[in-house]
Amino acid sequence: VTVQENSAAHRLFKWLLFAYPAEFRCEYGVEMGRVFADRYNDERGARRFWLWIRTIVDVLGTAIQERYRIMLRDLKHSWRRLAAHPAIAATAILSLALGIGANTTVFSVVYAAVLKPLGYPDVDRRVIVYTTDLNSPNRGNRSLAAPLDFMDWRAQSKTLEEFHLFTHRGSRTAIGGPFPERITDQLVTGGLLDSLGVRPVIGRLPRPDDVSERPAVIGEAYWRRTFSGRQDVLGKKLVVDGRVNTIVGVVPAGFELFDEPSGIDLWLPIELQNPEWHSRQVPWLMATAKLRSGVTLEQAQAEMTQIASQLASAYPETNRHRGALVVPLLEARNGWVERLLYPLFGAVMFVLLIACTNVANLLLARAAARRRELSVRAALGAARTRLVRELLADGIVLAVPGIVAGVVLAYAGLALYRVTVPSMIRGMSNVDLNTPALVFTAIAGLLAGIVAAVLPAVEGSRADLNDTLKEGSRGSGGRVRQRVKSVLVAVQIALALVLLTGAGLMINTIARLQAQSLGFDPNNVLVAQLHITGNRYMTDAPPRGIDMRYVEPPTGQLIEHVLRQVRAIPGVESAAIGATIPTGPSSSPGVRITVAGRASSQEDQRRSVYNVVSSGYFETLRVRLKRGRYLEDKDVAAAPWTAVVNEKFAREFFPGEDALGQTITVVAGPDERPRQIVGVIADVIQYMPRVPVQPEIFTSYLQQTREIPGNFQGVRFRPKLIVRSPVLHTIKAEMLSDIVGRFDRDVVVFGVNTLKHFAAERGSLDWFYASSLGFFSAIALVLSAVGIYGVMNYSVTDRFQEIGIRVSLGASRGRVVWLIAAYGLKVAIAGLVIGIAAAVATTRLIERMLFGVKPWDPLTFSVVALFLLAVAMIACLFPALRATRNDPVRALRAE
Amino acid sequence: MAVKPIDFLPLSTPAFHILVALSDQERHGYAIMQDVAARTNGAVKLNAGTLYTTIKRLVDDDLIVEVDAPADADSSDERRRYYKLTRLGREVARAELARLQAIVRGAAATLLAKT
Repeated sequence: VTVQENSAAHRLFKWLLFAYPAEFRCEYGVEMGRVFADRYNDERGARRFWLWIRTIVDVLGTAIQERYRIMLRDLKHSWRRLAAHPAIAATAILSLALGIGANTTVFSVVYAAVLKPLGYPDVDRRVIVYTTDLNSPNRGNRSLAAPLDFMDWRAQSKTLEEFHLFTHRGSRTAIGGPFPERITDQLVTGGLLDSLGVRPVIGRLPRPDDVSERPAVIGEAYWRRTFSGRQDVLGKKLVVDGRVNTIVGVVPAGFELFDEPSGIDLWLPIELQNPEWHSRQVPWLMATAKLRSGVTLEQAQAEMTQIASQLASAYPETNRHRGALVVPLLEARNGWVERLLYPLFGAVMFVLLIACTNVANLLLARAAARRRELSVRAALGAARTRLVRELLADGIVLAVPGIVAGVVLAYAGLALYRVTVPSMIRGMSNVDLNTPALVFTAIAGLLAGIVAAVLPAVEGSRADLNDTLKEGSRGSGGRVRQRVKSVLVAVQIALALVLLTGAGLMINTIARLQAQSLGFDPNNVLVAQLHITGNRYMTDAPPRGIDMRYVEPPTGQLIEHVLRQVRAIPGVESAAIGATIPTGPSSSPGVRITVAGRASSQEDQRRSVYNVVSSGYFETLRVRLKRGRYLEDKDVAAAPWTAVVNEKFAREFFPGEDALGQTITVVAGPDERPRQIVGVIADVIQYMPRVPVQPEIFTSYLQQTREIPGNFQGVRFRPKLIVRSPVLHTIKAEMLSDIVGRFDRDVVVFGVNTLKHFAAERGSLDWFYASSLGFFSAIALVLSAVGIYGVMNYSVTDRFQEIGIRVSLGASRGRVVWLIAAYGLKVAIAGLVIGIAAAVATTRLIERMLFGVKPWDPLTFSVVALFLLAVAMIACLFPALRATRNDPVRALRAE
Repeated sequence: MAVKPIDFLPLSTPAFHILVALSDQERHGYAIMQDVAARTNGAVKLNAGTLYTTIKRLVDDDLIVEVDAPADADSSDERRRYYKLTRLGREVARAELARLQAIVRGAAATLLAKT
């Protein structure tokens, strides 16, 4: 039996040949079929089976080799071709490098912020439980958990396990090392670190049932910094804010607790068994738990909602409007950073797309220049796939150096990021180029190269010899190609417009924030924060089940002493104390206010910010007085208690009435007294300009309750000193430390800085966002301008003869310029129209970053569009002028 | 730039066998395969893929060239593609042979001396 050329075996073999590249298959396929048929005929029975096996292995192996050789050859040829035109290659590589560099930079940040795995066991079952305000129209209004609520959740929940509490990062004064030190800390319930899989470097972790005296674990960095990494740190006493703790273990560096950065120095236990924690008032702790295995999020949410409603009926005073919200940990973590970063990520993607269109245009021009060669080869029988492959290789050859240069740019970009990232994005300053970012870069870069090469490859390989020869060098052809390029440029302009609009809206936002009146004068003011460590000034309350503490009087004497001495420093104009400094450090609680003569059910009490200040506070900040008087030295404990309020307070609490002279009571300690409003001041920006002003009440530090609720502690123990002086630089932090230290060595002065600095820091996120968007837009603009210029320039070359003929027939210079410019204008306007539509659809993504300007702000849109149009026109101008210098004789001779 | 035979060494096993098979006469693919099998007592049986990717490389390197079928070929063989060794191909095959011989001599000197 001989195998015929169309027998099943032969057909199967021919099918196998598709593993080879087309050109090899065409050249040797028939011969290979014959050889295989001959061999097949030589064999019988089972030996045929083994022949098949050997053949398949052989074909696949050699096919891979063959493809690899062809790829190498194509890349080598591409490289040679591109190296022959270094200017074009360099432009393309630089374009890609900018796009890739921007992407790698932003990806690294996104990875660190959002994508990096947390490395906790069972991380996808972990949740955060928030308290919600059912009264609030905004359902996203989450607050944290109150300790007693938490304990009820833990006791009643059957869907959740491993309940734990922790706090966000705080700072405290620790004495235990060689000198008192400000350190960062987190409070955690015993067993949380264990449950998150932390393995201590030395020592142990606090256990849920720990009975040793206040077990504390310290961070590895703090251990090495302050205790030189000594083993005998275990068992050492650490006095934190006047309380004695025992160090039991060291937590490895790099561990981070939920969205908190590493760099925590100390973890202290939350002692829920201690009555001082037994409060339902203020929800201020992060509650975390784990879904029991097999429980869905919905089941847990349903159960928690039910528990919350039981608590609401059991404790209506505090819980009437409280719900509970179960959010997966991975979602809760850095949610706002995510919302902030994704638009930036989108922006850099646009930059890369613009770079791709640039490269595509350059490659199109290259393919056009090779048109004759390609069409001749196609006519001589070169497979179209081979031509496409060759042209695609161009993209890859450009992408590889583009990726390398892009990574270098990303290094620079991240260095820039690290110095500009606002401290508000906590823990995000330490972003490095990491392996995932490099992998992302390689993939994105190669994709970009291929995407850029696809269109030119398809275009170039379509070359038909007839057309090419017909076109000759008259240059009248290539209309299709020109249209493709026009579309690319229009797309580029559209992308650039979207980016520029985003940047424009942010610049607008900043301008509006700057124009916002602060209500005070931040110039020439120094801010120093005092930390009055606890035990000398405070005694624990008797166990009455409420979080109150007695406060001993010396705080007043301390402040009196400090103010007297500071005001005596030469050059000091005025000095004062305040719990909260506008746009600066703040420790003012929100309080409920009752107004004398009105019903005072809880519903009627409204909230206000409660600030404690000394005389001279308003004068130092230069806050305008609207009615009555400022707080003065005569407002002492024994005098009638007084308050100054801001205009917002006056409007809210006394609409249509005169606030001055009214009597109000702050819901605070039992010995709080009614206060008469003696002054109304102008509204002052409290936190940052984009946050609306809240009602605020100012009281003298001398007229305070002795017995204070827990949330008043900041007011009492974290006073801020403000100093106004025309010669601010002469006032040093050490001078202030000396003055304070002379009164009490345990009081720490820290965080000394100018008020301008604090104000700038508050606005730094806006600046960061605006400058990032602005920076990427600038790159996009340059790339687009290069793209427009390149295409226009090429179009002039393409129409060289046409223009020459027109000039020889008497066309004026102006006419020639218009000829080119009109084409550019048409493309630009098309791009602007697409871009405006795209921008309207996308700018709302950054809506939450905007202030005082709508995402579709017509002014911004018009300015950006006109600006882009101007840039496009300038990019057109040079090629147009070149066209007018066209010598008709030379142009025709070139035929 | 003259191409030196030594630049091609060492040859891959299939390449060497193909050159040897073509050293006495022009052959087509299947004949090469049979000749190699016969020469090696069936130890080396070139499969179609290895055979033709190697032939392609040898053609690209000018070690062999494709020729018309010889006049005495029978009708079924006439359509086949025949290959012939070039002068460079012969030099390369000889150089490879010399290289292998040197290896064999060296190996023999050490291996056989011990016994």
